[in-house]
Amino acid sequence: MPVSLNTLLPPALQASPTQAAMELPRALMTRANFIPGVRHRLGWRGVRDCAKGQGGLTVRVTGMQGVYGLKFLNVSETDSMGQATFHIVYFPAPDEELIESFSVQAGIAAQQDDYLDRVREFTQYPDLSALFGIGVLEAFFLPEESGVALTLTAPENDTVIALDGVILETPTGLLQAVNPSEEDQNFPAWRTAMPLFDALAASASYCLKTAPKSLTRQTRPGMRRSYGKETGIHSELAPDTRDIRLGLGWNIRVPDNPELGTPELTWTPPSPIPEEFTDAPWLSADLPGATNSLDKRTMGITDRPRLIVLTGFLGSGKTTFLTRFIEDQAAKNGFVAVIQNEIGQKGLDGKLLGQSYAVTEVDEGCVCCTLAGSLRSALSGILSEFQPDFVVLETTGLANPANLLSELADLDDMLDFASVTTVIDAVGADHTLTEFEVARSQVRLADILLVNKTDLVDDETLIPLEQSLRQLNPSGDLYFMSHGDIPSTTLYGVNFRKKLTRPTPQLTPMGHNATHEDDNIQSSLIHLSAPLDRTEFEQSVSQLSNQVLRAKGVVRFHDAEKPEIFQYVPGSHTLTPADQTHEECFLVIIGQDSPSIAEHFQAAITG
Amino acid sequence: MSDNMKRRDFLKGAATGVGVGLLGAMGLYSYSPMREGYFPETERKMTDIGTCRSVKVTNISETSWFENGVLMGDIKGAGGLLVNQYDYNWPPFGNGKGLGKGSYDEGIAKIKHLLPNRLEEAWDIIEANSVHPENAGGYAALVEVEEMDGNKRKFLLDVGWSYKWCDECFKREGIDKMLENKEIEALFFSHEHFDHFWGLPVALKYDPEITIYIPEGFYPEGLQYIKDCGHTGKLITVKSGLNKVIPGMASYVFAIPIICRVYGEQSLYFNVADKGLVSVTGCCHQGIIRFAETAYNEIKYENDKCHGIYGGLHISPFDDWDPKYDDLVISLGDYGFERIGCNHCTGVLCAKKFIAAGYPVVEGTAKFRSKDKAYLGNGDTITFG
Repeated sequence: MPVSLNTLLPPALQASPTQAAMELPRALMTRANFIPGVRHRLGWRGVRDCAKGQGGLTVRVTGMQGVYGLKFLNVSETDSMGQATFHIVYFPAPDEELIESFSVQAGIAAQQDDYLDRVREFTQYPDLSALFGIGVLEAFFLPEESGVALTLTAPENDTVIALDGVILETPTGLLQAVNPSEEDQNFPAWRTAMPLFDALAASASYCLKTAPKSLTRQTRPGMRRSYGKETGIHSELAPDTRDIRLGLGWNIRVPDNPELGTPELTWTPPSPIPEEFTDAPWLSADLPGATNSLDKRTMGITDRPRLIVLTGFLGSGKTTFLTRFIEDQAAKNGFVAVIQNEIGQKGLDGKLLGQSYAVTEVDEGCVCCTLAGSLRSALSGILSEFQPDFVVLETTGLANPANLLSELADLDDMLDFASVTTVIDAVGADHTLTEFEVARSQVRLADILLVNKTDLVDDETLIPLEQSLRQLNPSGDLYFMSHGDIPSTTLYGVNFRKKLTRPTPQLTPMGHNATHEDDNIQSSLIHLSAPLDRTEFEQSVSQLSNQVLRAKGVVRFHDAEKPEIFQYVPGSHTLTPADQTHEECFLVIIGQDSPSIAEHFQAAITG
Repeated sequence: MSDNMKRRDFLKGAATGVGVGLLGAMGLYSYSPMREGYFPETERKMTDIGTCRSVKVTNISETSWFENGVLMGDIKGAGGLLVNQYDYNWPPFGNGKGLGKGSYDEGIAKIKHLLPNRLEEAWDIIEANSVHPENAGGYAALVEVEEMDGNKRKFLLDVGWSYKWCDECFKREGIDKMLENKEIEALFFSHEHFDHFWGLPVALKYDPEITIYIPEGFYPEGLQYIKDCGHTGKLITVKSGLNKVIPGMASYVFAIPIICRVYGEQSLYFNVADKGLVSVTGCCHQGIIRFAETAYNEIKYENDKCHGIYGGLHISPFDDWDPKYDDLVISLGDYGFERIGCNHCTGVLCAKKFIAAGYPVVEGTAKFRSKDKAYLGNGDTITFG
């Protein structure tokens, strides 16, 4: 039996084909999700067990706003092959476009306040499965051949006709939501189910260390349902839709489903894969590095740790926040390295944290002055010894991140810049921001502003504070917390990929917010209405003035389908394809004299 | 309705008129081409496992490793969390070839002839050939069940990792003598992980005949190790689900994949007279909520009350598609446990949050290398009932 299959399920379990088939999807999802880099590559954005029952799983997949649910239906054994069947449901986000295609009843359920709570335990609520069901997953397991197969069956469109129409009672009165004999639902079930199937199949190729050796597709005429008070609910042939069943087999042929007739498409190597599947994520299983265990290197992933620059005035609660962040990561098998240069200040209490992190002190004065030399050597030590997922550079409260950022470019071969996170003490912020330019600078350059100790002040303090923070920094994410307590996924996103939001509109674009012009650091916003030319953009970025300390945004190029996330610190920038929908494209430029720089930059990139 | 109107604009706060509830109520997919499930509505099974008078847990060791940084560095250096635990080259299976290049066969060949009696010599060899032998600690607990007639019965849950550390802990708590006197009637393994399982020869040195219960899903290396350690007693593989042990005590096996190529976790449930359910766990990889829900559905217990819990309370590393939830701390409150002794993989910060949330956490003494009083630490005891 191949080692790779043993990684998925222990030999004892493989001896029972039905049990193995039943456990297969969960094992694939769980194993593939253990390593953040791997799971991101395979398309997973979060997995959760339904704690309360029946082996339900809820998952999120790259590119889809909603949550998928997988619920075990039944299991059988034929000729020592185990077969397990699962119901696939898709719970759209309440504001997602797909809500329009589901039935009115489903739409109402999605707008309820307890919707996500119910989704998390959807196996407890039969109405959810009924309203949001989109397809069926089959898992096959044949022990002798170490064979695994997965199939997806779903209608292209799942249509429901409301014979009597649908009348709604809304807060503003009765409303005819669906006219009699018109479509209550016309849901693109196949298209919606495919991303989940792709991620699952890609995980199978990854875990089994081999691409599928068999593909089949069966179809049959589709059905639609109609319901009415007199007739009840019944199925009938639908004119324009098909049921599709796509199957992939690893080491075995995909078993056909006799209910769907002769396959319209079959493929086995060495014949070339049909054109429509050439980009399928499950094909790329020619994994280098045949080690005897699975790891991220087999995917060619060499993750550099992400760098978080943590700033904030003395006593604002940086250490408290950091403690929480480290433990949060440790609970998720993440590892944090901390580099501190707090002179004479009490650092992290290693004993308390159980050394869930590595810490190195750079104590030759202020980190921003001595950065290049000592930081680099501290980093290389810590990286080779611990291979952390994050490096947090905790700066002294007196450090001006403006000086720091321009130095960080030297480290871009070792780290991926992630965020400037600034902690603000709600109690003393007013005074600090008025008195100290460094404090204002810390706020201006932050990607994430954390207002701490909010339990100690009331709205009379908080509201003006929020206004002055927004004035200094219109583009950063702003959060309120007490005791440094905020989940890191809220701040940085699942898989550390957070949607970049356009700056709040309360400030004039192009940065006419010059209230504190001590060192003339300002934020400027550029709207991008049309896609850009990549070469021109890259060239303009390389010529950006050294007065620019930070730039970021969402950019769309002519040569790419997806928008890309742009991150810039002096001397270094990245463009990463966005895996979430971004309606608007924009750039934020932070630096001295940014309005005129932004103006020039915009002219250069938009030709 | 007008074509350009979006449903999202009017669905909030809306209710369907007469007769339309049909869709949700009737179950769409039973009319669709999809297969039907044959799951009946779940009812609580409430299996009677009997009652016991009390349960006392002695924490032999909860410190599985001493520096998390070193452990995580090893795991990452060897390739990550999917790597087979026998390949890391950790003690006792060091082959001298360095991190990530270990193997069970090569490692055990160096020490097999010394197991289970000449452990000091074995440890010298292990120290010379393994990666970070000084970092190994272990998880082990002594569980004493008092039957309704006052008779007391003893069980071990897990045996730790480092031979050296575990022998020291066993002696500190008198486990060595209890084993020699055959006072301990069985050893339960929660799961196959190194820090719970690899210290096995230390227990077998004092009683090679002890009955061992393992959860279904052990890998061939683990099964071979039990033999290679010189075990001569009964080995019982517990199938997924509920398994009665003695009146008032049952184990439950959860079929779940766990990091470092491990599969399946066994936890212990007790029904304490007049008090209610008591749960004892190794790591609780199934998640504390699933653990409590399983008890609720599967077992009948006194007063229908969750009384106590001991062990590592694992936070699911995957509960992350919606970050607004802080499941463990909030949801644990729903079960109303009256005595909580937590340690090991719970996380000190998490334990402190339990305390801050007003949960009845029984604090420890932070002795013998346990880190914080929020943990029921090494050498501490907790009694239920």
